[in-house]
Parts: sequence; C-alpha cells; structure tokens
Amino acid sequence: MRKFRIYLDKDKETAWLNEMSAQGWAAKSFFAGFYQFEACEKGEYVYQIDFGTKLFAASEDYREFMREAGIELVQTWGYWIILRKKASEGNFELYTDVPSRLAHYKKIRRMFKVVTIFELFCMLFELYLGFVNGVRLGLVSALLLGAIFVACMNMVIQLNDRIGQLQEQMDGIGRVRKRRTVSGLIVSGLLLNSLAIMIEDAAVHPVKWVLQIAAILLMLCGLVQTCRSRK
Amino acid sequence: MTDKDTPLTEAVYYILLALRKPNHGYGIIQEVERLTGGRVMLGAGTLYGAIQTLEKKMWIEIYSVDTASRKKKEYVITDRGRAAFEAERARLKELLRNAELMEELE
Repeated sequence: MRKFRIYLDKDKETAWLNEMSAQGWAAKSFFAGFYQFEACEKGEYVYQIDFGTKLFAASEDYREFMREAGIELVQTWGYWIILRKKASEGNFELYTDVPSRLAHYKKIRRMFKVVTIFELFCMLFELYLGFVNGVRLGLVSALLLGAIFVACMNMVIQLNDRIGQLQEQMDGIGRVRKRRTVSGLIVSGLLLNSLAIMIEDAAVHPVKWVLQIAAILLMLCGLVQTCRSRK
Repeated sequence: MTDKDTPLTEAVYYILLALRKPNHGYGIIQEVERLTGGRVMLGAGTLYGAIQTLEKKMWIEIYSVDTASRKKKEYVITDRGRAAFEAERARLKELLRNAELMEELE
C-alpha cells in the first residue's frame, strides 16, 4: 500500500507511523512524500525518527550501532532517518534524557532556520523576476515558496516552544516566563512595512512590492504566533 | 578540564562507569540498566550521541574492532575520562556531605 503525506513535524510523523503499525501496516520505504507500506502483525514494529549529520546517508558506524541494539534502519531522507524496532524486543525510545532531547531538537531547529531563510530569499527572487522581468511563472513560484516559507517558520516557532519546555525541565525549576504580549515578528513586519512606505517615491516599483509582501508575511506569522502564545 | 565538564549528566556518568572495563554499545545499555535497577534506560540516540562526544573529548577510546567476524565495537575509559569521573565524584561527595546540614536545626 502506498500513501502520500507531507510532514514537517517529526513527532507527528512518528505518531502516524506507529498508528499505521498498530493497524497492521509497516512502513518499509519513503520517497518524496510517498510512504510504502507492507502488511505486518498489528503493532509488530515501533517507529522512531532520528536526525542525522549527513544528507541522505547514515555512517556505517551508526548503522552497526543501531543493528546491534536490534534497530532496523528503514530509510534515510535528507537528514531524517526512519528507524524501527520489533515491539517484542522491548521498549524503543531514541532520546531518554532531557539534555540529549534538547540537543536533538536544537539540531532540527537549526536546519529549519536555514531552510526558512533560504525559502525567503528564493521567494523574493521569484517576486523580483515576476514583477521586473514580467515572468508570470515567477509569481506562481513565489506564492508556492511563500507557503513553504510560512510552514517552515511555523515549525521554527513550534520547535522554540518545545525547546523552551525542555530547557525549563533541565533547569529544574519553571522559569517565570517573560510573557511577551506581542510577537517580535509583528514588530519587524511593521518596521519593514513603514520602510516600504518611506521609500515609496524613491524606489523602483518592484523593490517596494517585494518589501511590502515580505512585511505582510512577517506580520501574518507574527499574528499566528501571538494568538498561539495567548491560548 | 574546563568548568563546563562538571556536573556530568546522569547518562555520561553511567556510561563512563560502564566503561571501566571494555564494553560495546548494547552492553552499556544493559549494564546501566542493571546498575540502576532499571531506573536509567539509555535510548540508542542518547547513547550514540554521548559516545561520539566522549570519543571526541578523548574520555573514552576504541578498545577493539573485529570487522572480520562482525564482532561488536568495544570502548573503554581513558585516563582523561577517569579524571573527569573522579572530579564528578568529588563534587557529589561534597553535595552529600553538605546535605547533612539540613538536619542541624532539629
């Protein structure tokens, strides 16, 4: 059986793979959003997803280490490594203490930060192409890249929350949280927006547009973050 | 040794202890589980990360690899690792000694 899903959140992906396994479907490979499943006994495998250090590869050392612990490497994809272990062979958790969990999520956040910035630049470039050179396709790409940018940014925000909670656990006492009522993203969005207005007369048409759209995106993300933090 | 090295995390403390004699990955997990009566169960990711770090710090080293017979890679603590462990032990002793102050007021 084949299923198409796109997950940015590895915890949700792990939960889904384990749910599938509980229903008797074991994921055996992954390619660009397509998961290939084969029938298994209900709950035969427990899945976990690790974040490696190499793209689309795991070192022989890592493979050997996991094999020895009865863990099977299902698929590497990007930095992600899908692992599984037979439920009958005992508990399967990858990160069992706060410091290692913290390090794990920080690595993941770093990757998402890089991707977010990369997507932003790609989007701005496509916008430039679209408006200045009149490439209609550029605008379509820009829209798509904008959506990815927002999704990745959202992921960074969620990871910030998770890392914050872990940090509190590590310190032993809950910190008195500085409750910021308005997200910093809204502020930077507003600043960018006013910059766009200020240079309205001076700047060439497309530059203003690019700034304006970036400002709107920032403000939107900020709004989402603010609403979430107040929940 | 820098200040950052102590306190050791519980995982690192027990990994060093388990490597007082040569041991391999899964052996470390079992040894730590045994020593703590099942309280500390090291996850494969936690252990793998810790081994990489400790090897880089030269607190542990490879004891043997036998690729031909697919024998497991074994690690063992180094002198530097022992020094770090002893520094931690001294710190823990001090904590326990001072803990007795709590009974003073009675």
